[in-house]
Amino acid sequence: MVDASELIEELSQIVGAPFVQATTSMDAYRVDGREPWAVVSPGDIDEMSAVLALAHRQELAVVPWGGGTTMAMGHPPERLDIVLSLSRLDRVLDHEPADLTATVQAGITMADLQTHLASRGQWWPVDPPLSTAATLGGVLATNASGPKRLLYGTARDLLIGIKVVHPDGAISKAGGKVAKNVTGYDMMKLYIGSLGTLAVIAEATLKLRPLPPSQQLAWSTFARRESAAEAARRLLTGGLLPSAVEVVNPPLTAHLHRALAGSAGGEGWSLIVGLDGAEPAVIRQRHEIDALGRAGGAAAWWTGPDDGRLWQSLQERLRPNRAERMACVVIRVGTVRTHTEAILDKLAELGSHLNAAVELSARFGNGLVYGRFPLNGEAEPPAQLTQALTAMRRELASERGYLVVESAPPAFKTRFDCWGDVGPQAEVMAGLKHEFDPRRVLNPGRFVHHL
Amino acid sequence: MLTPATIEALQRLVGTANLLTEPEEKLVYECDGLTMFKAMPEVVVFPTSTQQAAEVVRLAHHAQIPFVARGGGTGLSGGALAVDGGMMIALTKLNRILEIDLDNQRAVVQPGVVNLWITQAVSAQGYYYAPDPSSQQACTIGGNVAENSGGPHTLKYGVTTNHVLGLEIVLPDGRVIETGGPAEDYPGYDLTGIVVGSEGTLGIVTKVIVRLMRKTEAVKTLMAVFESMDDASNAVSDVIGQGIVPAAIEMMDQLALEAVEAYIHAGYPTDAGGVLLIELDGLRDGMEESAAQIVEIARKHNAREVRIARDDRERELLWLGRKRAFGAMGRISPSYYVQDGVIPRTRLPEVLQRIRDIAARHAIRIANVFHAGDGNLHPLLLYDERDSDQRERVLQASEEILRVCADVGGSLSGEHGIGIEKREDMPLIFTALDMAAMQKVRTVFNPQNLCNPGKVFPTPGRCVELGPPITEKVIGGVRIERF
Repeated sequence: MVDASELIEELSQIVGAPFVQATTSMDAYRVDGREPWAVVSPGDIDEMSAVLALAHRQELAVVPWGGGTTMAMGHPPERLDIVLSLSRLDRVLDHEPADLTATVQAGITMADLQTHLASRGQWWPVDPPLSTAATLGGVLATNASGPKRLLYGTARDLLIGIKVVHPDGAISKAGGKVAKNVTGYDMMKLYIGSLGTLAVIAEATLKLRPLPPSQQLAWSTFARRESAAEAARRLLTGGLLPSAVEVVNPPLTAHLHRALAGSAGGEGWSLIVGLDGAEPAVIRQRHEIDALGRAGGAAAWWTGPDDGRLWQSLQERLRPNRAERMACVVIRVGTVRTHTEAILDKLAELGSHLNAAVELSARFGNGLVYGRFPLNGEAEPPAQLTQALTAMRRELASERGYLVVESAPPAFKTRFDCWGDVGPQAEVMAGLKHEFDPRRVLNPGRFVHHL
Repeated sequence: MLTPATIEALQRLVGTANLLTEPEEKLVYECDGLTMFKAMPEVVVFPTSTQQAAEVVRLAHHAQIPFVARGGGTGLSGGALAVDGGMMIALTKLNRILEIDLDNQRAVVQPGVVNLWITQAVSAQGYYYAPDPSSQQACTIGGNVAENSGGPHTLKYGVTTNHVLGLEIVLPDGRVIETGGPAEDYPGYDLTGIVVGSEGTLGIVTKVIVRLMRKTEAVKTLMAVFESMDDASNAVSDVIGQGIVPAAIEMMDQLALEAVEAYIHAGYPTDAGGVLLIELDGLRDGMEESAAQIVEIARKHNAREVRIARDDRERELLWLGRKRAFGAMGRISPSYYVQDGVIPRTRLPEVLQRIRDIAARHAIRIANVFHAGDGNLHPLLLYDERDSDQRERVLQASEEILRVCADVGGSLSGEHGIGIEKREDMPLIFTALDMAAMQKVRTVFNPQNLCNPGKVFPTPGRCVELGPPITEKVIGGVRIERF
């Protein structure tokens, strides 16, 4: 048994007593029903290293914590001793506008990062939700992304250097400050999306883009899913360069209208298109999309400046907060573009069978479909839902697709494996976990195959 | 190292036609594009299926024979050099494009497929495969995956890893696994991502799922002529600083221009200090304005002339000059040694000056052809390989250039990989802990170090009695052994 009070004293020696939270309620730092007995906030990478070295010595279970916006992801941790907060590592260390690179600490919020970069007319073109809370480290650890990944790619395409702290406290780096780099293994690819189970990301060097001179939205609604999907398909193959192409089902469309009162009315299936670029190009694309919508029988359409609120509202709906998490399940399906409409159909049908207003959003060009299923608050998740998702997962696997649960109450997670089976790769992944974290210090049990 | 029994087993596996054992047959396989270093494999095997490749590897694993994969043999860092002898596994017979799915912008190809074949297969329908190394007419996708190859258009479109979605890979013990797939964001660790750029040290790739891009509506290629490389470099920084993201920015200096013009006759001026080749692509709208902005920036930096290609033919000719630049060196020198350092763009003028100093100090000529947009230098050190003194000066100079790159916060290799060529320089960039983390990965995939040994990481020592005989050793700042 861990002697918490002695460890708290040792931790206080490392980071300073004010930065070890152990006496107040730990409720805010619960992970699937487990509470840490301390939240530790190191002030720099050296303190983080010392904290982890201590945790390693004592075989503690550590959950790295950025903004806590994606803590619903993954299996419940098999153990939880301390939360390692990145909140004090929140600085921009370096920004070279002429090189389009910036090196930042992992605890910086996405909003603060983008504000800093915007002051020089640049941004890091990754647009996940909850930017005032979500941190860069968390975004990297979960490979979080937003609708504009269609044009800009995701973190794996936009990260050129990294510095991590290993579970035993060792500090290592990979990559560098230059975008083209084949010097040593591309460790960044391993750390991104690893849910903090191999090492804790402390710093990252980002590949930036200039802020687009113009950002606009084109929002059409259609009575039928087929029309919206057809319009999306035409848009994606027609030679235009949209930054985002999202197909949204009627319940979620309704939610967006409610959330953004003042935008044009319109019920049904939405095709929401993002346009980033030089003004003449954006204007021309807007015209073409409107024409496309009209030709496809759009019931309504709206265009206007993209201030980000629509995308935030859409994504926040699919990233439930702590209270909401108990009342819904959010899934993500990955498939190929040509299969996306069929997935929308299947999920909508499932919603009908369950008599539940499922909300669906497809990142159409990327073959990703997000679905939010309401739960009616019962202790046990509906067997119909878990069975249907299991069947769907099996079908998807036969054509190299997958289904993961991004958010669900703990009771649901005991009935349904949120990650699924990754096949023979699992052995290699287990080998990596064993090499990097033999004592299972970091997020033990939360990742695929309970690694 | 290979017993007669093993050789027999290989013959039964792949057939005698797909197994080379005689010295005169194997000669071409003693080196890759890094012709300065040679090492003869004991056998060269040509599997014709994934299954065969896996069984060959299993055999090697069982008999504890080191093995190295080889594609087009165009690698410039010795990645396909059989430093420890053993088995060379040539992937050139796995050369089919297995599947093209334009609607989903995916293709599935075998590793022996030549890079350019992919674009050629889909070009008529308006698609292409983006990573376009200058050797794309000869290099293979398997090699591209190993080296995370780039090319001029990586500034805007990224490198090989940004266009590879999944792999089929034979692990060093002969197991076959699939990583990634045609969809995006698969759960689990990104094994595809760690294998790309691992220089063939983690296994042998037998299938690659690549992303296809749609050709853009419009393209505009400009050539700007400058009196000095400094002006050209500053112009590059200015273009980026003003928010323009060209598809490519390439630079050539006077020496390079002389060679290229003698070879290609693309209309390059041979009396200029430096030339920038800039390509814009995307939608028509706004492209004129961006081009005009670039012309203005060029003039601001004393450009003598800015030419815009008027049609596809002119565009292709301008690019031909750049893509054949290395080969063009043959016009002005019997041999060349190319480096591949990468530096922050903003340090270009300073680094180019330091390269000039290094050239002067070692009394060798250095031509510069490179991807200015992302700071990836290709200094071409010209020499006569029959003159051992020149060779040594070239190696010394090359080492100094690498140190400069490390010094200004850059890196050792932008595209060609570390291979054997730069493995002893890794400590310029990485600490022991940095490399230990990478070694963990190798321990998982390649625990016995049979798969492409001697690459990427510095060697603590050398087992002289096991490898081929060493014929020469250079001491003094540059530790290299000739096989």
